[in-house]
Amino acid sequence: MADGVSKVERVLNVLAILLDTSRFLSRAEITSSVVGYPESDVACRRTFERDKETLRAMGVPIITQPLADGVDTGYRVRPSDYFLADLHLSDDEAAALQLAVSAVALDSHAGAGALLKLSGTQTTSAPLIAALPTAPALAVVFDAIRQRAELKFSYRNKSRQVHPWALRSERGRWYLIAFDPAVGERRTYRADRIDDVPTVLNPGTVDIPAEGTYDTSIGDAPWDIGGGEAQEVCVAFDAPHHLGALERLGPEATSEALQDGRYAVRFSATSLGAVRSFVLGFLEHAEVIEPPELRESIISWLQSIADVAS
Amino acid sequence: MSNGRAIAEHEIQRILALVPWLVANPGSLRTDVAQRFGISSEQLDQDLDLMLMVGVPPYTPGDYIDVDDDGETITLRMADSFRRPPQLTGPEGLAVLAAGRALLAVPGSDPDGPLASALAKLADALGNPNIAVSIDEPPHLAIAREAVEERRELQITYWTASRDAQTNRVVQPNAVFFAEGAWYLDAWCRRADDDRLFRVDRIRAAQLTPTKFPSNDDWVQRETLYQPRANDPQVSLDVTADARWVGEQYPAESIEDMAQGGQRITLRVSEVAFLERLVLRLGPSASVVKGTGPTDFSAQQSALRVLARYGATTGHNTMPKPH
Repeated sequence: MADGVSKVERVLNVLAILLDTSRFLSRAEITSSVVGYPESDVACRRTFERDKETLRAMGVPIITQPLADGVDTGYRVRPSDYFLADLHLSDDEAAALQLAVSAVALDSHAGAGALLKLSGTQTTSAPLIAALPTAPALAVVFDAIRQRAELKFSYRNKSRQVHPWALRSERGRWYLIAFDPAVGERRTYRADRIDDVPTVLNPGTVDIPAEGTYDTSIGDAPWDIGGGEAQEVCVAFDAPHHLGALERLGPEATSEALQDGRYAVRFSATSLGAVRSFVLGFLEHAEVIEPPELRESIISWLQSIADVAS
Repeated sequence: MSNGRAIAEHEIQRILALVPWLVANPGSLRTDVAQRFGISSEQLDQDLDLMLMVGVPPYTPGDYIDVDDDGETITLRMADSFRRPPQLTGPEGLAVLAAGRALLAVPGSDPDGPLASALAKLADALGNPNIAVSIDEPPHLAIAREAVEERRELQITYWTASRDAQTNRVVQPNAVFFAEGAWYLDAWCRRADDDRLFRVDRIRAAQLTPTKFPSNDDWVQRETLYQPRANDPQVSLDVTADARWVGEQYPAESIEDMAQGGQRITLRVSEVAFLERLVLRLGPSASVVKGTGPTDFSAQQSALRVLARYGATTGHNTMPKPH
């Protein structure tokens, strides 16, 4: 901090000059105009880098271009990129958004920030009506859809690069609907199973088909997520655990009483990994009968846990 | 992000929203402004002092934001650079759009009301991203919400999946809310003489009784469905990067970052079965830190118990005979 100028004051002035200019400004032009930069060139450069990062982290669209001298980089912010369009919200509409952000738990901090920008209103202490799940990758996925960009992420330990089309919140989870050019198919991914912070690539290059022209259904069950061939699965449940299983599997699943008192529940699934997770949730009250490879994989999975823990 | 940087960002964002609002609302009452933006009168003074220092080249007196503060009302001039608020960030746009779509999906919402028109305007400004929230409507949702609204006792027939049992109960409903994909009724249950959480889709029959009950001052809204108690045993799990969702999904006491994107997640567990399910599902992605967790828990024993179900460890498949 130089001359008692706070970081907040300095950054606000940098933003003001970047918005005010009609041409690209060099770092030297900015730091010599704005009060509060250190004298030393090294410290000044470092401070400017940090201020730039602060602005970008808040979503300020700083654009760059090489300057005519061929050495320096020029910076500016186009007001049209920066300003929020006036939504002309009526008082009723502003109040409705305020109620929504207050009554639906998602990420209260971001929701509150949006309210201040949209209508200069705060969240109120409304009773909670709905809680939506959050996932760390969600905001980046949303940004990629808005920017019509490609998205690269790690999912079930595999790297994917897809064209994100839509987000759906169903059954308490967020799903990404995307086109995977590597397989030439539309795929569904669970946002909470994206393992890393996704990377947004090539903004403006993705053609998102018009809403209604592609399938946005998630499928009936989490074990239909991620693509692949559907397989018939048969699991034997102790009574009454088959009832809880049927409730979660939906109307497509069938149930049949077995001689040993258990119930055979049949359904189809594309992701055997998801079925394994579902079945293990019933502990010793469920046994996979078919397909054989799922049965084998559960046995070796359990054996590896038994071995490691000993 | 360091705390200092987070505070600076928060202040900058507030001022960038405050300036255009003051420009658009000249002569605003100081008290009203402070209340809207959730700040104290002293903080407002500091923010206004700061605005006086913001300007653009050539920095003549007319190039700085002009604040007219008579102690009661505020008027701002010369704030052209910040005449509009900044665009919504990704998290902000998502938060408000998703919250609005969720509330609109709640049964009983007006599909043509101010919320719907506000969301249409907002979606348009955000480039119309395709984002939707679906919320189902179990048969007895409306009556459960009515009971909360009118503070009347509700008689329900409730099905418990784990026991396949139906019980008749009289409850005093405090709240109905949607979480983790299902509707819940948070109510004081006469039969249990305690607060209970009921899944609305497992209510098999419901009838509103004429009995009114007084408002319960002790009742506090739940923050999560699963509320650990302070004396529940703690367990620490070392998870690999692909199982970081555990820390998001369950209320963790602490999360420490470890090598290669892994984490040490400490949770409170009220029942061993919860921990068994979690550890068996995670398999090689998690290991329980020695010396933590309920004393009668062993991942090995749990795995062996479930393995016993599969008979011989060869995985030989014999289809049980139907009736």
